[in-house]
Amino acid sequence: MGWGAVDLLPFFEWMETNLLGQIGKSYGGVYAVGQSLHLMSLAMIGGTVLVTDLRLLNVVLRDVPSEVVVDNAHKWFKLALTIILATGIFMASAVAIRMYHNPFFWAKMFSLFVGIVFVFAIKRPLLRGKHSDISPLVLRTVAVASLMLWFTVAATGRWIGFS
Amino acid sequence: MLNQVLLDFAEWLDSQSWSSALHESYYMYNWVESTHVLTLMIFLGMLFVIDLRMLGLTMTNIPASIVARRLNRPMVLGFSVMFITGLLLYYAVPVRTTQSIWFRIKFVLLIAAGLNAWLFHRRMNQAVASWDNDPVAPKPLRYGAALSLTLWAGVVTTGRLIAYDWYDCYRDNSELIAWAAGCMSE
Amino acid sequence: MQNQIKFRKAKLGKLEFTAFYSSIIIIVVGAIYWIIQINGVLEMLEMAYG
Repeated sequence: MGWGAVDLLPFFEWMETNLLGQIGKSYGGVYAVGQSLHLMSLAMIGGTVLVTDLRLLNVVLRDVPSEVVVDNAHKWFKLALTIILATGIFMASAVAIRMYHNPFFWAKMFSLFVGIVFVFAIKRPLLRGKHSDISPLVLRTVAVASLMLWFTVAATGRWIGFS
Repeated sequence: MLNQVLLDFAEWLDSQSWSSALHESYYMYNWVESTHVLTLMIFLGMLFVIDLRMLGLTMTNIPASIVARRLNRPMVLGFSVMFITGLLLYYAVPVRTTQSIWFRIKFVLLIAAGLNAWLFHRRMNQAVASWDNDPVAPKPLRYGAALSLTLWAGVVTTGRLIAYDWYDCYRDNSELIAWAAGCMSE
Repeated sequence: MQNQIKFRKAKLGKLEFTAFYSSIIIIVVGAIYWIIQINGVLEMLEMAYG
């Protein structure tokens, strides 16, 4: 697996043998704490994404300006994303070679990559200004796409453990 | 005594055919488990936003009661799904779960979180008008919000740890752990 | 002034355009992915239980 001619297997082998991977492998308690932090940042990402997108879809917080909801949620989203990436790298490195052969891991990495690009290159620049200038249809489509994306990231992630 | 009653109850559940069917069904069990975990994004996500507003860390220019009341419904919805799927997960693996030290700690933390939420709501509704527009909630409510975040972090952590068998009854545990896990001598 | 507003509008228009179409692609690809996944599970169930 990998992109074209580039095989990423050596990188995954290295991940598993480096210090980070060894710590995760040897200390079950540390690994479990990583998992727990990962889950809590998952909840935070869920909260900020839901509040943002459901507000754009006019489902929750209808009496609060959507700019306020979106801006505040984005700050916490960034923090949660940082923690979830850090703990995710830690968790994956302990089982890196298994991850390399797991199709759900790659589905997750792909959707995560698309998700990050979507948020920082498209959604954030679009929503930075006044929302009344933006066509409601565009706002709603963006919200649905964002919900779909982050649900996929979380669900494929959960399914990594089962396969 | 109590441990015997709990174990008898768990064994009774375990003897039901639906319990083993759910436990043995790869897809059904994983589906319930995934729903349980993924609903964290709804329940705990909403709880985070409400508690952070009380602590003055987000949406400070919006009245606290609006944030709390508007997000209450999705939060309760998420909680209901987590509760039902949680019961199903217990039903699928009753004996081991009953004797899991992590499950027992989680249960205590859940009760504490429930009490805290009840007190929090009572206090909030008593005098919300006087501070609703303040960026930060009054001290008791801030403590309540911080306690809520701490307790739920504990619930998530212990919930995750149920999957590990480090302190399962078949292991050589210290007396304290065996007692806390409610291991019965065979 | 007038030009500036026009410029900002045009920029927003381009952003809206990109956002709309990338969102549509994400929704369609996501839907296809999940339909395939769910179908796969249903087939496995059918194989297992008939």
